[in-house]
Amino acid sequence: MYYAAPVAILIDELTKLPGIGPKSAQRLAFYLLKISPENAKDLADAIMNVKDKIGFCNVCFNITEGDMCELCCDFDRDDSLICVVEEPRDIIAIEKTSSFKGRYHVLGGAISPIDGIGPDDLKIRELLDRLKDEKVKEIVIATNPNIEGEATAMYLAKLVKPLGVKVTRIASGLPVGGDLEYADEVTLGKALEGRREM
Amino acid sequence: MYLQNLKLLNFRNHKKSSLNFSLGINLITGKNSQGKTNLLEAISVLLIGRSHRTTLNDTLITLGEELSLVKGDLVGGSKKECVEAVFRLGETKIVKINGVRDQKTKDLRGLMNTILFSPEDLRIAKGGPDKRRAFIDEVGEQINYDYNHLRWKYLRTLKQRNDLLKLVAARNQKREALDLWDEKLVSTGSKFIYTRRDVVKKIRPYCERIFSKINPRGVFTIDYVNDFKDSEDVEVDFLKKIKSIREYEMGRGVTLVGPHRDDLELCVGGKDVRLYGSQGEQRMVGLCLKLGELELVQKERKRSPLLLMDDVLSELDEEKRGALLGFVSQLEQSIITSTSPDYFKCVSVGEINLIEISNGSIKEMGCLKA
Ligand SMILES: Nc1ncnc2c1ncn2[C@@H]1O[C@H](COP(=O)(O)OP(=O)(O)OP(=O)(O)O)[C@@H](O)[C@H]1O
Ligand SMILES: [Mg+2]
Ligand SMILES: [Zn+2]
Repeated sequence: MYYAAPVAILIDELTKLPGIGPKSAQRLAFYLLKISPENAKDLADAIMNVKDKIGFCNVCFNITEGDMCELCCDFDRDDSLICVVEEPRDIIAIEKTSSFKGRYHVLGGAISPIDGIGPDDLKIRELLDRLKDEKVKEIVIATNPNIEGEATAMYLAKLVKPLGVKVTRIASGLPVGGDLEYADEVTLGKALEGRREM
Repeated sequence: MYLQNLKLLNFRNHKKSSLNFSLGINLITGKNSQGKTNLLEAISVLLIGRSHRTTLNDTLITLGEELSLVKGDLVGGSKKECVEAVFRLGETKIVKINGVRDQKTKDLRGLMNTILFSPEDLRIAKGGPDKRRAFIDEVGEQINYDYNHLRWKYLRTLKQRNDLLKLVAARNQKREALDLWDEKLVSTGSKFIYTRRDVVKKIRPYCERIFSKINPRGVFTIDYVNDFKDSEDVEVDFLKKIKSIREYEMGRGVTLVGPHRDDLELCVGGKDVRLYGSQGEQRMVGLCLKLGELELVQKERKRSPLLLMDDVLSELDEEKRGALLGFVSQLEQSIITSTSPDYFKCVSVGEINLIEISNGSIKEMGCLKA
């Protein structure tokens, strides 16, 4: 099928989004062709807005509007505990369970040679810097329970244990091979409570 | 449970078809390229979760169409489950059970075991090791709930390590990075080897016994061949081995030890049939492996599997055909394709439900007494 160039470009861009195949991209493109110019502008503005205003927290690399995220600024949280996750969206999943009151650290992914990601591409050095602070007694590794998440957890445990910080891994009541993001609140809450030492 | 009926929409050369199956033997006949294999393939993608001919779902959809449906009722006791597979061009398959989309299930093994037997299976002794690994996997996934997950985990770890070997060779990653993946490969790999060992140990006596029943003078043996065959502690030996060949592996950019290189040694009279067997012996071995699979699954799952058999009868001599049909007649249900119903004339297998296909259209011919 052939489309006018602007439509083809739009479909092309949409296909780059995660979870969107050529068919869905085509559907979305035709939907966008039909909406009013105002609605289209609202969508474009919203996208530009997050790009302008949102950055990464200086401390934990969560997404934030300022230099430091809300969770890092919160005085009531426990400084002795850091939960290590792959992506900012994992923080949201864990926060929903309300069973964790410590701090977070976002790695920005997991070790995966297939995707060309090695330890140096993740915020691991920054995590080690945070552990120099005497206050931290334990890190809870909450990377995804898939091959890459497990490998990353193992790698971190080897680095961190010699520093005298306790390393725990969330229990594997989670769907194996799955993403944290999709785990429901109850399972994820239980997984946090039942964490085991590595 | 058994498959009571099937509806097809735009599945290969079946535009719109609907047919009923009975318990016992269902025989699908028709001339070449009328749609017999396509019909079995439809049942296979629905109940086994994959096709034996292709991994490209789009080719299943009738050319020029965008959507294909395969739908059937599974009946057992007082229970009835409506199962359905939906294919849309360029999208992943959707499975529905009683109209509700099922996110997790990629196949319906939980409801029913289905085994496909095609002429390819008769050539398993002659083909490459990948064919024999696939056989172990097929048996494993039916008797061990965890098997596929374990296998997938190993293959994914293997791919990660292979990619890393290439990155290290190109100096895009430090070689110490391999330590982590060595450990992961060894831990998932040893578990997988132990599991396969167990699968082969379970199926071996069934196949060997069936062989000597058909051919009392012959002795058939199956052995699981892998890099750590006689190892007491696979994990320790695997790690040792992989450390010792690291330089070599870096040069090649692939992992050279592990269960991805497994094989089955199939011997008749003490001689490897792949190297020394006659064509007849090789087919006989293929037949015994398949019948062994049927018997083992029946025993382990405590229910009769559905057998789908594509064109196998024409490939066998009378003796083997007789043995096969004797076996088939004891199953709760089988669906068999053949260009001619003649093979059933000389053996008594009871009643047969006859179905004729011509150019994708299906005619139910009713009961044939054999
Ligand atoms: N996606 C498709 N769309 C339309 N027709 C198709 C499609 N895929 C396959 N066919 C056609 O279906 C026909 C029947 O194929 P099938 O393999 O079922 O034949 P068969 O009855 O098993 O024949 P044989 O006895 O030779 O094995 C073939 O002629 C093939 O061209
Ligand atoms: Mg055929
Ligand atoms: Zn922060």
